[in-house]
Amino acid sequence: MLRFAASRLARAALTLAMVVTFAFLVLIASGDPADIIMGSDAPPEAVEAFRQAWGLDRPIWEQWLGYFGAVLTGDLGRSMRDGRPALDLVLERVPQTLAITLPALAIKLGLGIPAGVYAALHRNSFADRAVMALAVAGFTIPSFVLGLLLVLVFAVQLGWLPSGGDGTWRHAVLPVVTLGIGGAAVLARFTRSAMLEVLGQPYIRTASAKGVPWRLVVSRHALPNAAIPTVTIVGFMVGTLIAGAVVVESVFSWPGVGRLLVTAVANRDLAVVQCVLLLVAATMVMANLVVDLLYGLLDPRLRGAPRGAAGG
Amino acid sequence: MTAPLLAAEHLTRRYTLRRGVFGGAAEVRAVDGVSLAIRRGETLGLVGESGCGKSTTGRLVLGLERPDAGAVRFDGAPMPAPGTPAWRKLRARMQMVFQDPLGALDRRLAIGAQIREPLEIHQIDTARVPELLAAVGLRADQAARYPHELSGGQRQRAVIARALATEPDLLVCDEPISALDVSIQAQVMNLLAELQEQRRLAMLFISHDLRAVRQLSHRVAVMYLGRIVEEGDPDEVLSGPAHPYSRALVSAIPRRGKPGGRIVLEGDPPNPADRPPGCAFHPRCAQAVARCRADEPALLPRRGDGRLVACHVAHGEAEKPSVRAAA
Amino acid sequence: MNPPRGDSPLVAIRDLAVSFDGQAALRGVSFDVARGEALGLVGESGCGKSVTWLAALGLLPAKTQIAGSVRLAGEEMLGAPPATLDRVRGGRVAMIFQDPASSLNPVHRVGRQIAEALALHRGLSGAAARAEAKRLLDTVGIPDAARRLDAYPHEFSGGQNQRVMIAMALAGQPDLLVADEPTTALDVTIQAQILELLQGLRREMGMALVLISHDLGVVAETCDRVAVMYAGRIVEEAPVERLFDAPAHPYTRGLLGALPEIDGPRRRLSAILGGVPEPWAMPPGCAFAPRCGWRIAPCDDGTPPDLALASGHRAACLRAREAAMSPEAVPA
Repeated sequence: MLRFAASRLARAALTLAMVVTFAFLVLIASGDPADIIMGSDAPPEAVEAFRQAWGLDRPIWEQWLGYFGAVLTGDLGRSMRDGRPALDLVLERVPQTLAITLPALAIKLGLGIPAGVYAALHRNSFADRAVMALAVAGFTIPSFVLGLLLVLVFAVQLGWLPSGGDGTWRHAVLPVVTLGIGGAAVLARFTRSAMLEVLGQPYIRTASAKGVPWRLVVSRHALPNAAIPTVTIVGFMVGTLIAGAVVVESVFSWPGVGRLLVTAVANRDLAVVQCVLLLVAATMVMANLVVDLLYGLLDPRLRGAPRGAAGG
Repeated sequence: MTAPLLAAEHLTRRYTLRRGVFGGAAEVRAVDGVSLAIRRGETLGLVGESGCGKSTTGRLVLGLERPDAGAVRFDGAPMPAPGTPAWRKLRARMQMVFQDPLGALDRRLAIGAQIREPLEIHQIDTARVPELLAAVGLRADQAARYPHELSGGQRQRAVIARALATEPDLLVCDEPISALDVSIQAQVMNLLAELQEQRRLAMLFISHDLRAVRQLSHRVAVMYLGRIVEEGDPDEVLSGPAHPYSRALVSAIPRRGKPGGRIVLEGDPPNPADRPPGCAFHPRCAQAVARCRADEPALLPRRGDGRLVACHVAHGEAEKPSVRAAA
Repeated sequence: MNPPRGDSPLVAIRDLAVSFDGQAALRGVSFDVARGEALGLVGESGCGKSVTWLAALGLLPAKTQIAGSVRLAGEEMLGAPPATLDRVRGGRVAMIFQDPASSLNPVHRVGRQIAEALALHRGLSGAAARAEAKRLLDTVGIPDAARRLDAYPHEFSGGQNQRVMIAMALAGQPDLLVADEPTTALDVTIQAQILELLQGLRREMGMALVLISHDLGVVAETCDRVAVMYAGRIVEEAPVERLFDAPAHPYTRGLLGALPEIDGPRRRLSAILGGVPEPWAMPPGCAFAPRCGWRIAPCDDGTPPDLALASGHRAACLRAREAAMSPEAVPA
């Protein structure tokens, strides 16, 4: 088990390193931070001074190495805009993001999974078809379109909810719903497929033939098996808790990590961008690790080599 | 006595398995020192249960895999390595018929096109397709059908037609009838027998079904855990099996009347990765003696009738008391 | 040994007909299963042998059209409320299936799956259930039963999985065990073990057995009576010896002729030409007529009625009597 965990961790570390390098390269290629932050009509000496102060005049590979060394010691750099440590800037936004992504996750799970299970149990009925049609609508509409539509209806026309910013719980409603619907739709379709696959298996027929009442066949026999593939998707959704709200935060002017990222990219504020990326990658990698471990718990077939003889 | 068309000597094929994350490597000897020979116009039946290595033997004989030891000679020449141009040319002379006809056919091509394909590859006259269809009992108009539009028996006939396209000298059939209904099995068996007679085909008929093997084979070899344990005339082996495993196999065949004194083997077929020492069958053998635990028996002719059997007891080793009481 | 016919049968099926989306899978099947007897149900793919019992136990999808009557000790099963069916399934009629490896829930331990049946039908739980589950595993010949209770299905071989299925089926102490191709996926030596086990259990427990198989040899050795099915109907029913000695229906004769012998002279197999008709292309009269060497004009007029040939022997063929007399598989 130790070797298993160690190899997974090593892979995780490698993934993180690659993510950061990639972000670094893309940002370097996309434009000079000094020009953007100082503005196009700043005097060249000031721009040059800025560059030197931030080490932007050093060769690329030196900058990269310097950055990596710093990360390993816990120093994630400073924002070029206001000089504060990037890590602080990012971490203070995390609770804001979680304030909408966590309830959204609750909606995705609480709405998506039951809908998918219900659809599978009543396959080809009107309810099934309705749920699936809604699901398709839910995940094909881009989140910003959905968000804007909701703003149009609930904020502008009906005036029930504010259209942006944060402050009260009312401000959170529309962002949470926008985020939740797309994920719930995906999860509904996925859960339905997983359930249908499981319900077609011979062991479900065995359970019925044993005299197990149908509701118990579903809850005791079908659901635990359908959970195995579903966990992958849910794991992915947990992984996007930090980063998944970028668009929605922009649409609703919600001051979370997503908005911070967008601003930082626009300003070529390297340290902040890299910090956010590292955080997102770390969350995703952690979520995947947990999913891998969960698999072992949920599916005994994955735990070790089978002891039975082959054949006959 | 003509030389055999196919001669395989001491074929061995090993796979290395890793047991879990921490276990060491386990060696699985899928085929362990198998020698066989098939003449033109003759069928050798290869019988055994799952994990005995019969399918792997079939692939080695065709040259689809390289043996780790031993050699295959076809028509006097050594088998070229898989993938080489010489090997590809040899495909025209040896073909395989598989168990699952639907899996063996491309779902997206009509069967006529699939039968024509080997003709195109080996540059033989493609006008032969209707003749091949007729030879297997399909109608010419069925050439335009897709595999899913045909029944199981018809699909298997299409597979056979495709195999016959290049007029091969050797046909390896790996469980060709197991997936078919009983009445269709009979049709396909009759067809194979007919084709062999007409074309002097050499056939390796691999099956777990002793009845089918008896029906079609001129000689039968019984395999257990990668080795041939008995070989001989099918009627003789079936009526008087020499090896304890063959005896169990023959007595296990379900038939009329409640069979008294049936030999029921204990336990499951052993894990090929966990091979017992000495004779691989000894843990399940009612007649095992001390030597069976230590020495692997060789396939040798028995005193008396010359039946090839790999068993110490069959060759007369019985003086020491048995490991187990007789069944 | 035929049980006395005077007793009311354990299961009485009358005119059972099943259709899926308008396609008939079973077209009127009637037969009895007596207490303690072993009945073989033989036929090729699509004949309806499995569908018969899936319908009887209510295991088919809700939208299936089912007609007719299935009485278990007098009680009607078709259309019975779910609670009744749940009680019967496993408790009075148990069914085991073809592919043992995938017929057991992969995420539950084997002991738990057996205990579930014990809880449902015998009210056992906890230590009592565990002890009984162990006893059942011993009965079916699983070595080291106490430890194996905590194993998962993937840790057993195919033959052992089938034994576990049998143990689970026996847990409810059923009057009838329906075994649907129980040995088809298994090696022949393992098959022999399982058939021995089933016969032994039958003798000990006085349980009735319905063995569904395409393998005439398996049925020949295990069953007292055999019913041969073709295209959704029973075409012949007889005590096992009689079926093999004097088969009457041309299809049965064809099946027997298609089976290669183990001993005796080798002969060309008398294969039945053609194939089973598709459900949507059923011939107007006897479904076997297009392939039948005994066909005469009246065969196409309507489904042939059952002709009683001898005690317990009936065949649905207009020429059954003639065919039974003739040694040839097909008339000269």
